[in-house]
Amino acid sequence: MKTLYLIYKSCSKHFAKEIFLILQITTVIILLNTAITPFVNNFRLERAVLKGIPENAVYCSRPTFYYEGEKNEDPFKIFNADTRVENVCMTYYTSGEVNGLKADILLYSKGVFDNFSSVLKNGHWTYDTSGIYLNEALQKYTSGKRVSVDVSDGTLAFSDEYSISGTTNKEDIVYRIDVGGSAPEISQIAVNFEYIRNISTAHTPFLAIIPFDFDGRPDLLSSLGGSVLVLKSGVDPNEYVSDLSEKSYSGQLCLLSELRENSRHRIEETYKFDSLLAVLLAVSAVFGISGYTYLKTKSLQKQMGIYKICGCKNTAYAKIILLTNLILVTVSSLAAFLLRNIISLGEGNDSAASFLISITFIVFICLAPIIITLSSVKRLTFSELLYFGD
Amino acid sequence: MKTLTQAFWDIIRNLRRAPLLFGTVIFGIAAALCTHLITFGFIEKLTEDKREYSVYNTVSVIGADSFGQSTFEKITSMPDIKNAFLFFLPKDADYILVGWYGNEPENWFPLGEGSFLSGSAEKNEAYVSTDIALYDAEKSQSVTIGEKEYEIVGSASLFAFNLMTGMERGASPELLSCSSFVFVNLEELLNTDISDACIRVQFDYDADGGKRDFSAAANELFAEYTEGGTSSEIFTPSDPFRDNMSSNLASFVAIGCLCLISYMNIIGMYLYHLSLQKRRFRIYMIVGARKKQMLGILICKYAVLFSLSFAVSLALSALAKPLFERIRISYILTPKAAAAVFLSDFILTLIICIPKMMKLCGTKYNRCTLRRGNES
Repeated sequence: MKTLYLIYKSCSKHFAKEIFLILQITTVIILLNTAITPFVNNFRLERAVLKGIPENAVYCSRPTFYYEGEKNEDPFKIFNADTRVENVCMTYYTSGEVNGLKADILLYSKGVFDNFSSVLKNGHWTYDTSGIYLNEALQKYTSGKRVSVDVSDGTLAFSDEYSISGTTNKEDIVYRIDVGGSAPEISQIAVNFEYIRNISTAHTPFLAIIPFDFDGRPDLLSSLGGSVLVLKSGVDPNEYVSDLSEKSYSGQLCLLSELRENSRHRIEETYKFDSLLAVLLAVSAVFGISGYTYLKTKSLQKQMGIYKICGCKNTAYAKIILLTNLILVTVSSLAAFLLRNIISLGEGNDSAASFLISITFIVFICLAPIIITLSSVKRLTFSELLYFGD
Repeated sequence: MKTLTQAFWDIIRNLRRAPLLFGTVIFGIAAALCTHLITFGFIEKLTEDKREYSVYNTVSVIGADSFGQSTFEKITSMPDIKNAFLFFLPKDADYILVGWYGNEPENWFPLGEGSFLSGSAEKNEAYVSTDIALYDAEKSQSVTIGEKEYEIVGSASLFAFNLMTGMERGASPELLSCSSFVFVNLEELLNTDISDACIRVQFDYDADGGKRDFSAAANELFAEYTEGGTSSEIFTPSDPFRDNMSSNLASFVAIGCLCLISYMNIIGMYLYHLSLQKRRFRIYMIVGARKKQMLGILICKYAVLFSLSFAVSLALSALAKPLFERIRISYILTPKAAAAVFLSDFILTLIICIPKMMKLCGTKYNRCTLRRGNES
């Protein structure tokens, strides 16, 4: 009770004095949260994607421009014939209608089902050309066990009925490896569908994944920008890429590490402002907030001496100071939590993970100097404490 | 001088007595100043990089109804012209006719097949968009404009916005819908019947490092088009800094907040340092120091402390440069920007701290301030 009373007294005194510090901590949390969100999101996406695909995979990116003669030719023929390649995984992205509703359609080859893992909400992740996988939003609009699909996009046209094989999770990673490009990256292999839907207006809220037989469609194959080659166990992807003559295939082969590197470069280039802000905020907070807390705690040494003379134990005093500061950080964090939805650098620049990282960082830099000071003053005598600064 | 010496020795004494505390104050202020130096240097670098873009070195006129010998001579006589082009939709034609001067068209659009215009008017060359003709080195092709025949020397796929980059889209909407082009040498269009043409003149950035007065250059080149109340309009390049700011407004606001936090750090650190001086200044007052003298010492001491922190921040910013480059962030530390940061930060923080300094030197005082300890 006594400790609580002392905390209340110190808090009321502390808060009135430290209103600027509260404001500063709140601003730092909000800004740090928005600044690190793209990097945290990218890190999480990378982890999720790399967890879902085999380690001995190689991404084959086709050039955007190719000769007339290359049209209607299977660009991945050479890999299919290679004994070191176990599977050539392909996807094709289009849009169509599922039970009359406009939806994004992703066609998956057998290899995607055999080698890429997926956590479905329900159902089994298996290659069955008579089945279809729907996202939760689309599932809500479909009654019955069968759905009709109509696709017509200039390259591909089909109309068929499918049974529902499973439902994808909201957070599921959607594999989309047909994009290609000169600097392919992790997001070339897979993306979080919800994320893509949020940033692109062209996307519908509905998604259907259809197992598709790509082998009989050379016209479709020629329009794919990329595929993933899954090598047989024991084949080193690095050696495979270096052994293969560049003239034998069109495009480029990239190891997963190269895709990660490309992703990192793109993220750094796109979010320059954010990374600068994150670094400077961290430095500013360490020297500003941490330094200020250190100075303040140091100047409380005299008070600590008086408390000790009155019979207060070191731990009890430390508890008061630490709890007072913890309450201060909590108040600032709550304010930041309420404001973070209003203030953000851009759409999608907010995530629970990055907010938690920001809070942890602030708690650490606020409490670390107090703990250091309190543990160092434990060794001081009464007179050293009472005459501090004289 | 005496006050300055006194302030200097005061700082040395502080450093000796409590190096950790005083070091925290100096490094706290230095970190805040570092933040300012790096953010301003970063924005300056971004702006500087943009300044080299062709659109930021181009003056234009829209709605020109004539192109005479005098304008052509004015353009060609300037030594630092990189490219100059005139384009318009000829009557009864379904393509845009472009008159080109200069040999660096890749600043405006990607070159396709074949070569570009050589610049010699006698050669009767034409460069066309691919929907008019696809250049074939083995086939001789030509295009007829008016009654004159031009040999096609190259072709590329391009759009009207390639030539209108940096201009308001609403400035010439009828041109935007067109994707067929024929390029000829600018000289070919002298005294031709043009209507509502757009003339753009691109200067060489390297010639003056972006310090050109574009308004004066535009007036010199295009004054005749706006005389006599015609509907022609002159466009000078926009400010790359403002463009940067409008496209990254949220980021600039965030950087502004960061700078504010840094100001708070400087002020917070200094006010803490000031609170340690209370007792000493009471004693100064008791032994007969005047308010002015004490305020002088405080300001001088603040100036020395600030300068010391600024020197540390300059060194830190320079040392951190290669580290920042690792995460693809580059910034420039110019003496001008450093001086601006120093002066603005010093004056602003001083103005905020002066009431506290005045209070410290005031005649009204609490006897408690004379007691031992700093926090009275």
